[in-house]
Amino acid sequence: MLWISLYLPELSLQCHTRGALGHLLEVPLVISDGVASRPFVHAANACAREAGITTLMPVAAAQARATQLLVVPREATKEQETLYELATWLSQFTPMVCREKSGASLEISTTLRLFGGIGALVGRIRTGITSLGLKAAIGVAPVPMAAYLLARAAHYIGRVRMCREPAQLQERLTDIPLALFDWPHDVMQSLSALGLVRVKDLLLQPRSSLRRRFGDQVLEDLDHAIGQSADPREPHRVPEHFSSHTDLLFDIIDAERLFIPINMLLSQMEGFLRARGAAVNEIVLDLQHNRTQGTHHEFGSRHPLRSAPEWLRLIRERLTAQPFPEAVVALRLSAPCLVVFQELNESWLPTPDVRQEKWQTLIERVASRLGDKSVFSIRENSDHRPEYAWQPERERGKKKSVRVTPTAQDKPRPLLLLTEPRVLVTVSGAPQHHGALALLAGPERIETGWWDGRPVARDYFVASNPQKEICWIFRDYRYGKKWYLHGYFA
Amino acid sequence: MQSQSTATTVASPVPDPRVFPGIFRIGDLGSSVSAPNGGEIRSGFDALDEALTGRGWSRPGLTEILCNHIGIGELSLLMKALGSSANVVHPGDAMHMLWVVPHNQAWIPYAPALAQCGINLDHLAIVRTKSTDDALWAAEQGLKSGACRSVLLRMNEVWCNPLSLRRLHQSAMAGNSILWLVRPLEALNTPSPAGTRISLQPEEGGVLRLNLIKRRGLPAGKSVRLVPRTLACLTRKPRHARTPQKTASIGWLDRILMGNMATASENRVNVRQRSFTPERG
Repeated sequence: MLWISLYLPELSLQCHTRGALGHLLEVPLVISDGVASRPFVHAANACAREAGITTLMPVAAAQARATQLLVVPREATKEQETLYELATWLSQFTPMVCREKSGASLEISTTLRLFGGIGALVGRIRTGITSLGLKAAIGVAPVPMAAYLLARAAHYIGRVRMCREPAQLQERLTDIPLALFDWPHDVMQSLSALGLVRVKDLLLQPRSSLRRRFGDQVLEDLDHAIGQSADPREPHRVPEHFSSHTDLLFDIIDAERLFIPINMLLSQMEGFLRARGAAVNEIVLDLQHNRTQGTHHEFGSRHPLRSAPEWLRLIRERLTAQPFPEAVVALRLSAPCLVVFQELNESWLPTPDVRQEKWQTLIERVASRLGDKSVFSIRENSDHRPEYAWQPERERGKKKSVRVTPTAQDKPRPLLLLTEPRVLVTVSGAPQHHGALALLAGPERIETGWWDGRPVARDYFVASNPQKEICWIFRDYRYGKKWYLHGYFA
Repeated sequence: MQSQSTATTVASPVPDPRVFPGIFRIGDLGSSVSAPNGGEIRSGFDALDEALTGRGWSRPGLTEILCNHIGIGELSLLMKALGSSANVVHPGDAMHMLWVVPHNQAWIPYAPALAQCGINLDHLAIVRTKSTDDALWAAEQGLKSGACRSVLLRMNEVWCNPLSLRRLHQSAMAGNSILWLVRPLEALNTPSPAGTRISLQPEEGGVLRLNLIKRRGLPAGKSVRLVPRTLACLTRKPRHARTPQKTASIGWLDRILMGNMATASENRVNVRQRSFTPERG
């Protein structure tokens, strides 16, 4: 067993600010806690700390130090939501994730090899956490309690070495201060009155007297931490659907700034999708405004996608093209239906799959900017009527295995077909197109389609005009015997 | 030829191109030594390959084809290069093609004809755009994505911002792809970063004359004649030599078949010019 624990020291602050990193750097912000009549500072951001504001300071005193101080009351539900989302995001690394009081622990001994060892995995978690807008201290130990203690120690004391062997656990924990356990205040006071400051002091005491003085909780936690008793955890359950929202502390008008919270939500979604082994074809982004009704955006992709940068590219193309009417105050991202994602094998040499993926990305990108109907591939169709002998194909994912029998293998067909046949002017019966047309080949009689209501009866000719352009023209026998231009042998 | 160059390596002051493959030497035109980035696309016409630098359409980069007509074989000229199996595709090399059709063009590439040319339709995507800017944008995305072997764009506008052309050229270089830009002949007088510029002129019997206006290396200064299309009727003996058929009972058709339209058609050109404005422009 090997556990990684994450401790979020600034959770109460970051659950508010993580959507809007760029804005808050220059504004002092504190989170207030305590009774409404005498609130105190629970957490302060870097700008506020620079002004001399420290935690546990009364809010009134803090306001005296920074004039434009922004005070946000602490929201326990929001912190829990953030922890829940973090646990969901972490589920991409292992099925065994559990929430801690201010963080999360995950058991990684089974998936360590997949992610390339402990160093690579910790690095990956660290960068991922940053993209979620959070800051975490990380501890590694064979039991979750010890891992969480080491994570807290890493934050309060400084660099703490990871512990991978159960045999070393007790020795590694001896110097950990008891204050890192989340014990009640009176317990901590009597412990320090007895001169018990570190774990090793407590281990030397007789167990029976410890239990008598401090109750079962202290002894139980201590046993969990040094691995003496089993510590079963309930695994976090990944939800069925993804829907996450973030309230912005400031209104955002500029689309560029909106991409920061969108990117944060997309990274969150990517973790969720990886945890579920799924991808999505469609995501919904709801922007909420102050006065007007919210704007609703749906983004579709032709093949299932999960990676945040790819989705962001699609969203960027669209949102920059159509600006929103009013400042955005909150946004919600949801993925209504999940589809199974088939991952590509990695290989040293580029494979056709990689090529295909690059191509798909390009098509998505062009389609998201120019409209879904503007990009298509073409294929042949078994029909003798020239305008139905081809058809556009937009669904690239589903390859229909319809056998197509080419209807004109050895007959002349133009490279460019006019979307609508163009009526040709005739001079004394001869068709004209930039001069009189001379017939080179034909006629090719095409008379079919009487069964589906779009009948044709035409004689096709290859013709050339005095400018030596070669055209494909026909004479229609069904409606008025006119001459039409239908294509160019370009 | 290979053995000769090996023998002269010691004596020659000119560095062996195989030792320094990145050096482009003007004297190498048409030799088997490939140009810097390699991967030229054979045009499929021997006469044209001879005339082009590096024996084929130069890739990556921008190639301009200037012509005022539709239907003189200007695209058939490219189809052999696109469809031929003669061009070896390396593993990992992009093989897709993007065909950008701007809003002001009333036609669509025709799938049966493309299939006749041997083009794999799975590797082709058509982009129809609502404006010229969108068309340029789509072409640029395709070029720099690295997923496209080639991009084909036909523009009706004479004037095109040289800056956007340069962007296209740079994106093609970045994505190792080739852009075939078909433009009107009047664009000849506007600046262009294209590595190859060719103007087209139709001649009798389906023959196309290609004037190489610009190419990498030594100026070409010569023209190439070739037959781009494989239409049977172009190479067949003249129509009037055949016996008239009674299949279509149209009076004027018989006259054409009999070959006595020569004087009449000249009159008709004049009639047309008086009564119609040209449809293109």
